[in-house]
Amino acid sequence: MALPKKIKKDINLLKPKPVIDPLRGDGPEFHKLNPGYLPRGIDFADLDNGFVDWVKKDLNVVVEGELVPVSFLTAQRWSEFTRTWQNSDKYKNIKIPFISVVRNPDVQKGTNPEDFNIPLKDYRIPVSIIPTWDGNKKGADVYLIPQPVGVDLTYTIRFFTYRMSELNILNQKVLATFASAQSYINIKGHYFPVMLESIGDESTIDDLDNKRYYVQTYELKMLAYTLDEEKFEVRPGLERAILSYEIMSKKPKVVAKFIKDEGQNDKTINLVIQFLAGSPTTVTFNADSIANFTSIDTDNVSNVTIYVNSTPTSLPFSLNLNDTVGVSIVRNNPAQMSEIILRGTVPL
Amino acid sequence: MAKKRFPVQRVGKFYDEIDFGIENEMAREYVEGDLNFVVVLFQVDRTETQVDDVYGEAKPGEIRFKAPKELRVKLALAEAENKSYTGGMNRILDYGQLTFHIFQDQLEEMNCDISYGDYIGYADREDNIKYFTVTNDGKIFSDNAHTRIGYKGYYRTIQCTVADINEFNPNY
Repeated sequence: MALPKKIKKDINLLKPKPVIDPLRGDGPEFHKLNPGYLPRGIDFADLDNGFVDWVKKDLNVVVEGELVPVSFLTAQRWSEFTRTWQNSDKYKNIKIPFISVVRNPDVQKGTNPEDFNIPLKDYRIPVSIIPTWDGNKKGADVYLIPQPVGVDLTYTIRFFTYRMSELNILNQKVLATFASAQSYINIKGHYFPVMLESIGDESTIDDLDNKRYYVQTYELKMLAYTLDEEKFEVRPGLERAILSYEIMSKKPKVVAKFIKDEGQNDKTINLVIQFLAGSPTTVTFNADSIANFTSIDTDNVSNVTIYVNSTPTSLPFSLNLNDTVGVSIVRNNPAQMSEIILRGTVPL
Repeated sequence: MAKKRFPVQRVGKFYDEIDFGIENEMAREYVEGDLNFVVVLFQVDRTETQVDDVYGEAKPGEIRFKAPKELRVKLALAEAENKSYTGGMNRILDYGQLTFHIFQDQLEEMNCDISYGDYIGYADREDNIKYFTVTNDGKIFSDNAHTRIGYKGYYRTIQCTVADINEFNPNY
């Protein structure tokens, strides 16, 4: 017997291969492409570079229409030369005016209370929870960062110039910048307070017989922290499996059909009632023929009750036209179709 | 009005203006003829030079100087000193101090004077001239060393230090 239509017969029960986002994970490429998920790591080189950029941007001095060069200097001799040669004279001496930035090599423990740590080793702070979808499962990745390590960096800015009028420009800028006691530097998205510690003077104007120039010093302390990018972690969080069910939209009906064999002399008639798997076990219909039923065949049925015009009836019984016939069964196996065939004759 | 003059009568029994003049000429011949060290004087024109109203500072292009004059002198150039501007950073190796002696008669003959802050150019090579600024113009030269047996001073000692191109750039 044919199966009803619209039942899916080719369900693929194999577990599909999950589609993993190649950029998912905690690699540097992922961080580069998803800067919003994690703060950017920051180390001493970033802090120094950011500080010098800030000096160039916020404390710049223009003399005679030219920007006074700013050089970040370290102890290495050739390094100093590479930083200053563009602003040197024909004897390769750096030309005044210029600004030099030197960081004290001793870095001190951070004193900014905001940078104090929770005293747990390798403690990581969740910063964001990002939904994920690998084609099968919906979940979330938890992005964690290590605790920032507070550090105080002291920088000395020196401004070399021959003229008081040029000195005034930088003095005014520095005092205006630190009029509110502190200023802020944005380095790779992190804001660090900078304090003006002192303003000093190393001018050589006391030396009458040698070259004289002004050297104004500004000692600034940046209350910074470092953030080790190597310790960033992306940890899988909750995952939710999606289970899908295919549900048939139509419930199977019971089929009852009178089958007459008028070719034979005895005018036999069969009433075939099929209870499909999942269909109700009771059916009621009107007789469209006069018949006398004398026997019954059943398949997958343990018990059957027949009603004629709501009156329980047993074999043999007769049906008149438009009698209401009710059949109620008890199945042996509910997952399989049950069938009843009532056999009888049509009166002549 | 005529300038009042005071005749020098010191050591007059064995030394007078004629002796002084002879020795002076001989010495000048040695310095200006034989040695022939030439420096260029850029005498700052203090009237024409534009200066800042408050600080009196002039920018490089604002310094005006009189016509440069070549002076023949006896000079000594100190060794270049390798040092830093300050704090051990920003190394600088520049010329040492320039000290030269010049006869006062030469300055008077050339109708010029050397003052504090004037600029001196010294061509130490064919393709290079280094500029200095006067730190001591030696205008008081009556001490024993600058006189001949105390008769009267006849030469001046000028001390100079390097002038930065940002300070003085005459394109000479």
